[in-house]
Amino acid sequence: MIFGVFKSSIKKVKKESILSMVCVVFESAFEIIVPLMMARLIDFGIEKNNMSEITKYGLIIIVLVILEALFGCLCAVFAIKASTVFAKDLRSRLFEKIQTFAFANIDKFSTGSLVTRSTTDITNVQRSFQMLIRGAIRAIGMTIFSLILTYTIYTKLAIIFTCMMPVVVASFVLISKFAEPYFEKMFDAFDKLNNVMSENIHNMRVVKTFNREDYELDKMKKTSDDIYGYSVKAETHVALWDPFMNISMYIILILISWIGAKAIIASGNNPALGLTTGQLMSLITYGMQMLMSLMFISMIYVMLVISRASIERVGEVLIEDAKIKNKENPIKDIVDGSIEFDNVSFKYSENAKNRVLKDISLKINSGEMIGIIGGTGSGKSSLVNLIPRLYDVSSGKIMVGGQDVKDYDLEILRGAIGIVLQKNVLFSGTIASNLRFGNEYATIDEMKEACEIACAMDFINEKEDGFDTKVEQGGTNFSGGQKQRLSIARTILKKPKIIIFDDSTSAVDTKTDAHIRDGLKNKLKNTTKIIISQRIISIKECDRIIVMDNGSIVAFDTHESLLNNCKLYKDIYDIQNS
Amino acid sequence: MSPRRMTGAPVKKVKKGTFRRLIGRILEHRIRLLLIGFGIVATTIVNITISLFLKVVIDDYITPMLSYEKEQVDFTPLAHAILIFAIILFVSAILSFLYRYLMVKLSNGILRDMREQMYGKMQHFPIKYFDTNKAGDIMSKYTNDLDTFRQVISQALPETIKGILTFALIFISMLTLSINLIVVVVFMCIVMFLFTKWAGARSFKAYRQTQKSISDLNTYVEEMVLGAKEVKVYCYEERNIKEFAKKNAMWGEAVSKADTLSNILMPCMNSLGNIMYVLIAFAGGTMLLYGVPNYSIFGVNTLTIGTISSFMTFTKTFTGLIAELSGQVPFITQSMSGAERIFDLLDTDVEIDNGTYTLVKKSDNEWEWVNDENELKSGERETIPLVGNIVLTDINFSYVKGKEILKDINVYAGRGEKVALVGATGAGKTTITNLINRFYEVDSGTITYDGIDVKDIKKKDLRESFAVVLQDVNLFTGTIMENIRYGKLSATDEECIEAAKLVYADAFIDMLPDGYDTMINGDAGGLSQGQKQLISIARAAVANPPCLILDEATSSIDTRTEKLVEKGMNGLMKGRTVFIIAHRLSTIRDADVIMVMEDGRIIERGNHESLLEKKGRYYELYTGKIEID
Repeated sequence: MIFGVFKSSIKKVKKESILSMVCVVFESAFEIIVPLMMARLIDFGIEKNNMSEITKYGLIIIVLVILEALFGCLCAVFAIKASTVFAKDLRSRLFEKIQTFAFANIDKFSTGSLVTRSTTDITNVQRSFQMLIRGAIRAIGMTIFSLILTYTIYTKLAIIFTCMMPVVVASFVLISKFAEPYFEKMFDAFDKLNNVMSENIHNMRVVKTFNREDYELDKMKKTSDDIYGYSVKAETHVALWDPFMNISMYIILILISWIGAKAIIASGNNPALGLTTGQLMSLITYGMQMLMSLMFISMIYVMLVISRASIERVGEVLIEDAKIKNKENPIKDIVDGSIEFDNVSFKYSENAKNRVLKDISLKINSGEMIGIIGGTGSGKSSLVNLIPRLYDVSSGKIMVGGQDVKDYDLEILRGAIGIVLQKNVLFSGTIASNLRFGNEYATIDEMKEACEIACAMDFINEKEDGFDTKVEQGGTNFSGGQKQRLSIARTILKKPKIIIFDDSTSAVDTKTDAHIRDGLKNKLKNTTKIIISQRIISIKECDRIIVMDNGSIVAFDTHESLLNNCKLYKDIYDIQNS
Repeated sequence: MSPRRMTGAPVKKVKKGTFRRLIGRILEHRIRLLLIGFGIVATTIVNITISLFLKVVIDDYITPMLSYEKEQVDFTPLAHAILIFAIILFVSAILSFLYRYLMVKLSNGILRDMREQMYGKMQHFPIKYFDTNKAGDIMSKYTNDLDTFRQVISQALPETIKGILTFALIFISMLTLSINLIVVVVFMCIVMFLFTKWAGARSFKAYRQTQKSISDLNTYVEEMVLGAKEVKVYCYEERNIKEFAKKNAMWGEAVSKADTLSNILMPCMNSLGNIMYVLIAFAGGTMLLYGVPNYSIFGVNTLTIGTISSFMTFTKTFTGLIAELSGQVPFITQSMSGAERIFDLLDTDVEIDNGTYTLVKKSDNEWEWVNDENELKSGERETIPLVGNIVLTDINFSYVKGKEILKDINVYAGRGEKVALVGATGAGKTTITNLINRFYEVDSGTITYDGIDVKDIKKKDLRESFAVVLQDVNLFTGTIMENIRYGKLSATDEECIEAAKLVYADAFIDMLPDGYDTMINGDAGGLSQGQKQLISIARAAVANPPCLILDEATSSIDTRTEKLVEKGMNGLMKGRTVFIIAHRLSTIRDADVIMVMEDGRIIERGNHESLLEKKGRYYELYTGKIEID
């Protein structure tokens, strides 16, 4: 069951939750006794015009009321504490879980959905939890206490109440059950609407160039109409509660007055002989109280239904198994930067028909500079992503420093392999904080050195604040080429044994590109360097070059011999140098 | 029924008239409102009478019956009274359902209309609106703000109206009973009001703090989850968790403070209400004991036991009401800032479009401009054949006043010409294309299209004459086929596949397990950036427009494929005007004119050979002496 994953978070707030429940039970007990005292105040005080009785019951009520408020406040304090700590714990568990995810896990959920799950969905779960430990317990307490008091006053009516209760609850639940599918459809439609709208806003230039304004509006209207239809249906069901609740209330009212009247006549309004008018008043109060509580319980039920999707979505992430994990007693030391692929094949998902990489075998020596070239979708990125175990091979084996990558401690492995991704993400903060992303303890001198190699020092020097220049979310205040160079610098700062560039100088001009390569060659002599590029000029000086096509290695040799022996390579060369 | 959500934006002073406009929106539906109003009044009155029903039963039926001998007691009058009562109640229950049903339809209807009106209007906002507002902020108008709006019109407003109505009715009823006792009620109401105000101010402050911490936390989570792959690659996980824990703890502190304050309000109010009840009993009892004259709107009388107990019954309803209203009223005030943001959107000006020339397609390769305004003397409309001559004369432009992006730009693009724009990021290349299809308006200078000022061409038709392929891939959720068809809605499957073949997108699409039916789904899915670019080029190809703008359209496509795409495009664009912005200079070598831009000016122009000969900026770029970005 998906709900099982919430257990440990609930356990964390066991104390507060229980205290809150205890307090709410006391609060509702006092709340129930107060009307009883009020009835006495009328019966023995006002009706008898007895000031001392008024004072007596008045004081009792005030004491009770203060106690009620006290427990009410205490309950609020505990309940809030519990639900906040619960949400806090859940959120950090979720966040920590995501930290353990492999790329495959992230792809499965998509980053956008992970964001929703760790923000909006968590808030919904928190609200439901608070509702449960406070609202639900309170409603149940009120129902039980009211029923008990009804029994002490007049058993016959109490039995009728008891019999009516399941009917009332069943009806409420039934109405909710009918409403449930509409609510679900409504929320789905809302998700769809949000997607349509957000795409529309992001792609507004496309919409406008193709004159698709009306088409987009129609697309949105379809979903909007769905939402209208489902909302009306769902809410109409809920609106049914109201008359239903009223009718139940009236039936109770009429029953009480009729049966009560007969009983009072029979007793002659004598407390010793049976029911009195004052007690009749209390009965009504309790009857109403019970109904209200029952309705409240049904409302909580609907709330839970509504947030069930959120609960499930949070749960899904929590039970997701990290696809790539450390094995027991992992190796913590990497000897050198040699790499070996042994008959490696790879698919992005188990069900995928096509293999992205097919039976790849190759050997790279430590300190070598290797270029990779190949067409769109030929498998270049997939190949290098396997080395730091961003994905795991589907079959075959990859060895780094002579050991299977799966035998290493993940952090050690990834620490020793630096990879500059195709799409570079900078984080909000400063240039320095972004550079330190790869190495927490990097000194200013080290940062300068890395930026020199990455040819980033020039533009950093141009900035007024140098390394303290602010970086906006997503690095929007830097150009593509600058972002790439910063990413390169931050990877160099990691001081990896293997450094991989996944087409990461595409926005950098050829001259700077050459500078960077020179720097790498001269300053990082012992580091294995792998450079993926679309441009021959960027890789031709590499010790050896891998030419890839459609998931396979076509050739793996030096620039000169590739020009002579590899047709594909020669073609690319000709196109780029014609 | 969804839980009440507070809007994220800080609460500031709301523009005057927002509330009036909101009410105005609702008042458009007079007849339904009248029915709903009737339903509310009727059920409110019935609800008040119920609280008196038992008193009537006891005072008028049971008490008199008690004086009879047990055998002679006649229950028939009581039965009649109860029956009549039951009928009234039943009718009221039905009424209450009906008005609620109407309310559901009304509020959802208003909401749907608002949403569609906002969205429909937004489609015609100038691009500037989308460039200057964050997508998230725009979205939140449709989600958070509209949802708050819904809660106001479907719950808060009717409940408040009902509350105030009941309040008034009860107050009047109390006036008929005893003015003396009302003094106690008013006194307690003031105490309760002050208490709410005190707690409200505090919780409001704490609530603001919460808003800040939750937005801090969520921004952090968003950034780190969106950059999850970076986090892995740089082994940032542990530091990430530490940093997150700090923010999470801050949120926890703020939220428990704010929530505790707002949650202890209810039990305290409840107790104050009960204390009021006791005070009235004391006051009533004292008056009774000492025979103090009782004032009511009917004059002076002596207080009776029945009056006191009725008064006390009213008091209880009264207390509940105050608690209810003390929650609703602040909510309505707070939500007004959301309503304001919605009205702001509705008040935004749409694109200016005063053109009179429209585009008429004559055959697959022929179009003409038709002037809808001026009829020629012969009675026919003025027509100009579409050639594709685009001329920019002395263009100056700035996005923000005082910061000129384009200076003295002159461009001539003739029929069948390929015009390339080269230069660093921010040099103004994309801006020029933004002006040609009038995403932005020039500050000075003119742009003509076949001799017609583009301002005189209907925007829709102007844009229909271009297809634009942008660098950022922007596909829509749907199949590949649907995405290609976006370029021409009437295109058949064959036409779409034809277009894909033309630009060499067909090769990879065919390899996909689902082919053209492969779903494109946000950022998920296995398509590479380059493949997505190919789809967007196919989308432009199927549109088959007279002119084309390629803005870094092939930046993620490998050189070999790029060559093939180019070949296909050249076939398609033969005899048509093409603007091309490219990073890789190899892709623009065969352009008829290359313009090198720097800081908003065109500093060199000519073809590849002549520019190389010139040994100027282009030469430096081409040979890699200077950086392009």
